[in-house]
Amino acid sequence: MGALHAHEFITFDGVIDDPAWTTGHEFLPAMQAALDALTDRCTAIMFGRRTYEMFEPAWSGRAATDDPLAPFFNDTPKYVVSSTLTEPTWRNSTVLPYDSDKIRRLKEETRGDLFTSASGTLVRTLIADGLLDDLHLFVYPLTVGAGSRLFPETASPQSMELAGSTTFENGVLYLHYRLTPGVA
Amino acid sequence: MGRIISSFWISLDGVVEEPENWHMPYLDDELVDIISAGMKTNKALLMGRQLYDEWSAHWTTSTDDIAEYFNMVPKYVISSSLQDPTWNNTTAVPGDVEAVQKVKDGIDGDIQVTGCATTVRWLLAHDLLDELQLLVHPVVVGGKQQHLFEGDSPSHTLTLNDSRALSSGVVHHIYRPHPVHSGA
Repeated sequence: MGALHAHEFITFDGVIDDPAWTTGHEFLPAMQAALDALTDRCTAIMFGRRTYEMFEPAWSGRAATDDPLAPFFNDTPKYVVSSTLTEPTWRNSTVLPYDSDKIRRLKEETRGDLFTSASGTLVRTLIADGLLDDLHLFVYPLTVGAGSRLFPETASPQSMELAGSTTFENGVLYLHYRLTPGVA
Repeated sequence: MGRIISSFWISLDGVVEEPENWHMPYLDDELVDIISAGMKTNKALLMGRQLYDEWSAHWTTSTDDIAEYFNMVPKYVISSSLQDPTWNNTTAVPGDVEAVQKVKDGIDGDIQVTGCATTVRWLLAHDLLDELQLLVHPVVVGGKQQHLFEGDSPSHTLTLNDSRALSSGVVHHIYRPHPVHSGA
């Protein structure tokens, strides 16, 4: 039984898409270490289709020498949640049309935890269906106004548990929330 | 010269409206300490017209212990229509940058602006806000309630000055806005 974790880069006004705004803050070794600690416990990855299509060209040609996360993204079994994609080309990828029961079963059958990142539509749906266990937010000290939010107006009211909070030297915060207390 | 400080109780999805509906479970001693520490250092309050109307009606008739504080503290109301305010120790300030800057120049200490996201966005846009304190509650509120920043808000970069997690899961952030206008 694995817990499902989502990692997001987010502005403090709640926007998660097109994180070109992260470039003004150096990705510090401590941030890499925090992300490594998370990916180390994950044995499967879930992506929304758009994130998959952005990550494949970015990661499939990289090796550990280029980026320490490359082996994780390339070698770990990946589930692409999509109703349109049929022939995924990135190695270790399987298409999984969204089905809450199937995702629940996938979590039950996975030894180790499951990781997702970006994938806004998927993450919002997982939260709505009670399937996401942990949110790992890297909160950048800026607002961007326009952009898609992690929690839109249609989000259901929900309380969470703060499981951890770290401040990086560049002003980025790492807030870890548990959505399903008692499960993980 | 004074500093204008804004403090918000804010949900994880950025909602600042009607905190009485979601903030109460988190109102513990630690949070009360933060709020009362702020009240001790504030030399004056700055508010919009709508809040003035609500608060002047409420606090002048309230029997709450804290009513004396609100009735006695110097209050500045940003409004071009308010004339001869009747609430004790209240001054109307026209809604222009020079007038608000003059209030800052005339006060040696902290001026707390509170309650109103639109006032805070206006102060931010005009480089009048010196500090933004957020008490981020681990709760998603959802719905069409007022957010601190809306989708059409301009982008801002801030410096994270301090961040501390309370045992309730509320995280207290102190941000200092970067000037929007060069030379400010």
